[in-house]
Amino acid sequence: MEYDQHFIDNYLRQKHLLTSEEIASFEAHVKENKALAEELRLQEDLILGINHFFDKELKEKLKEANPSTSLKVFSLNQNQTIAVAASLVLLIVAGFFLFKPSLSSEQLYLSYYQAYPNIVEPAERGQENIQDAYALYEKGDYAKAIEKFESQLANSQPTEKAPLHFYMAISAMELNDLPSAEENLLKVLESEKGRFTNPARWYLALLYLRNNNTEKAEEELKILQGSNSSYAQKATDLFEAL
Amino acid sequence: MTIAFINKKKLIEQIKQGNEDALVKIYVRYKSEFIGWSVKKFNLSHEESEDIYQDAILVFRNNIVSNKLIELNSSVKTYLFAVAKNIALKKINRSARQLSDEVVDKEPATAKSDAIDYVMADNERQKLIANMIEKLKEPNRSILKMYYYQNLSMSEIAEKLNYKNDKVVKAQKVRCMNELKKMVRDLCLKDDLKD
Repeated sequence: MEYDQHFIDNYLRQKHLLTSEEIASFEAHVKENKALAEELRLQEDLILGINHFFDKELKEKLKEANPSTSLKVFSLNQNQTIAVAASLVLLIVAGFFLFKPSLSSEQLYLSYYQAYPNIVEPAERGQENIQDAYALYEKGDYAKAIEKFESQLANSQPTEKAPLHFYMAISAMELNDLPSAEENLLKVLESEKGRFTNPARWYLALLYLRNNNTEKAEEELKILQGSNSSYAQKATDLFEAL
Repeated sequence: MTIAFINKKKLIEQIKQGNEDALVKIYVRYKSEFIGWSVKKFNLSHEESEDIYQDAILVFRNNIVSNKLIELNSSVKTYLFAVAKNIALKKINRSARQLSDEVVDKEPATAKSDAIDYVMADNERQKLIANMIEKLKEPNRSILKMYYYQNLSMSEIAEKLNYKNDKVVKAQKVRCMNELKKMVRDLCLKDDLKD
């Protein structure tokens, strides 16, 4: 019998999905077949390695959540003390005038924003030109990806335009070109409802947040809350944090 | 950050769905209290206590996503402190420090065994694999995280990542795992040749 990756996954993680006969037969094969035994060990190590990595990543996130500050003690003479105090006053005054939008909006944006993965399958991508665009997007070469998406837009049917506008918008957000991102996200929302509608609304809310326009961000989040999609909970969490 | 009341059922559901912000909120909420208690009770340093508390959060998450912890009979804080205490005791034992019998007391039995069951990756190959995951691109990285780390089903992943259906996700995951296997084999082969 052939044991595929899915079977080994179940054996390692969800044995209750297998019958006792299937487990016994698999273990007998593992004993006899060196290659299968190695495959099992490799897949087990891969799963442990994956968990190890994401544990480390989460631990870093926890550390950053409330970084412990270790203060060093400096001994300053009188002149240094005056200089430090003067610099602090300057920093506070400058900060008061310069830091708009507010830090909280910026922080919220940063903690929620991440580039959307490319979910357009090769078969759906069509012509070579557009395949290049998605490949450039995956590589993070957003400026070139935008050029390719743009040239493709002219030759596309109205129903094919939403994904192009969507990925152009995310590329623009990555390049900090927020007006262009907004324009493209609005075009996705104007087109017929599809699988990019809720993601586009989510990114539009984040974009408004980045622009410190919480009122508009809240409007989009409210729509998402009632969308019965995976974005509903995210929208509620962000809405509560606003 | 203040949370007036923790809805335990909702919290468990959020963690099950991979909501790490919910974990961060809980972490922040009891952090200073735990560190103060741990420093006093176990004579551990601030850094050691912080590290233990972070590991306790990882255990808490792991127990929820692996369905070992379905419902909390105690408060979240009691559970977390009990798990953290067992990690601390293991650490102290490992360091061959002397323990008074007084500290091994009455925490929920499940929390004790859960902490002991939890195993961190410790062999070289797993560490090598963790390095490979770091270099993975999207959507592969998210798919592996959601499937193996968050324990979500293929249909849930398809919905979260807006794929057409679970079959497309499954095929993508198989491709990605096969690529990783090939990379590990190639690397191990190189190391063997070096030896």
